[in-house]
Amino acid sequence: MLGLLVVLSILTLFRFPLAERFKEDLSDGFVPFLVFSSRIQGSVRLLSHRFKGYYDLQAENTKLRKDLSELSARVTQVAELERENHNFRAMLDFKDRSELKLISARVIGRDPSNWWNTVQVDRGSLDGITRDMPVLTVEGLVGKTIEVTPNSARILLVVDENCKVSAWLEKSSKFGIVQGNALAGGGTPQCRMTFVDRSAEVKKNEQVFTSGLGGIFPKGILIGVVSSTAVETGSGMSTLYQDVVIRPSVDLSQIDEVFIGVGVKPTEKKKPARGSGGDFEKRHVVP
Amino acid sequence: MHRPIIPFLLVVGIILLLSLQCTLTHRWDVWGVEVRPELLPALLVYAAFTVNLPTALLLGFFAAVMYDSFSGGNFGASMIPYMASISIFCAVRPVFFRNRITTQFLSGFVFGFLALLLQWAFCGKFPVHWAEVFRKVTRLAVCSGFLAVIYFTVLDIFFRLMGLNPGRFEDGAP
Repeated sequence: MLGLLVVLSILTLFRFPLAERFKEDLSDGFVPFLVFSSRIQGSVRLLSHRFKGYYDLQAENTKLRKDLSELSARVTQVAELERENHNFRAMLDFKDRSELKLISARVIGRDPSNWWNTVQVDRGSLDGITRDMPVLTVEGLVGKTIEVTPNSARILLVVDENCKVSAWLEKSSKFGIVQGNALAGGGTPQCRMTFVDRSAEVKKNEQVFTSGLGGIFPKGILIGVVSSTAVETGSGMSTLYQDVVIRPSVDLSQIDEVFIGVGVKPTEKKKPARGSGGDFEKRHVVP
Repeated sequence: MHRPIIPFLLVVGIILLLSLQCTLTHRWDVWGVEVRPELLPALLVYAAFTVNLPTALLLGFFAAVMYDSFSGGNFGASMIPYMASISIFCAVRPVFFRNRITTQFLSGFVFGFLALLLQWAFCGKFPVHWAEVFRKVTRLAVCSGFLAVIYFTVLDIFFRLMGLNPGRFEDGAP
């Protein structure tokens, strides 16, 4: 048997027509199987490509999502930096054109008590801070220093009941005393201006500035705007006056940086205020 | 683990909570009034229900000193409110079931109300209208009540995991 197979193998090498015919028939008979096999392979390849594409897409999607979140974080960071930069520029500009000699300070703590409205800043007596110095920001008046340690100072905010500021109304040109009223207005701190002449026509959104009387707060610092008025209904002298509720110009719950006025700049160093006629009030107020 | 670790951990808690309160800028609207919850009274309620009277008073004293040093009020303005409230709670605690949520909430509420009202009385701001003070104190006391429930739950679990029994105050242990 083995010998026969060897002989047949040798004979096929000589390309006999019968062998060729047999080979062709055999090959032809296998065509359907080859077609079927080829189709199966094609389908499998297509499927594997699809799966691979799906996995690639998934990986790409994950990567893009990651990139997007990174970019979003960066955009937020840039916006925050931009805001900070804008604030610092405004502060620098304000410091340059203010007639007061200002020292910038960072708020490092707030009053834990709900009865007091104070903040603590990182500047103290070593920086030249003393008690009863005016504290302000670009937007307006913040308060005054009440306690000073070598490295920190406590500021009594203008919305505290114990903070009293002599003030005047911009349009009515009437004087009064602005006092904190932290508990009124549903807990949103605000101020009230007392001893305002009853006959004065006080308008809503009228600006209120410091009058300069009293010796602590220089004249012309914006305190806030009028939000409502009411004639006092008490007996005696109080009926001669009206009460004016004032919304502070500074958002005191969000202050991070403040200026402490430690004195007045020498007159020769004064720079003209941007866009102002040079009057003192405008130099302390950025609209 | 020895039981004296509890007062020590409560001191750490007082410092952490006070630091948190001093840097907190957000105000919560509670029934139309914006308040910044007081974090300490609820912790002192926990102390009054957990350690003995002298230790609780010492903790109250420490909390008041720390609180007043960060506040614009007079130094010592919080001492009497805190220590008086702690004394009252230490005196009445044997008749309360410490582990009940209602007890914890009501204790936090009453302690917060008493302490905050006394604080206001000692801060010397009498021009403020009574109705406004009452509105604010009530809301802060409610916050204090909720915080007390949270503190009791979290701290009891924490101390039990450390092998301590925070509810065992009757035996005179610190």
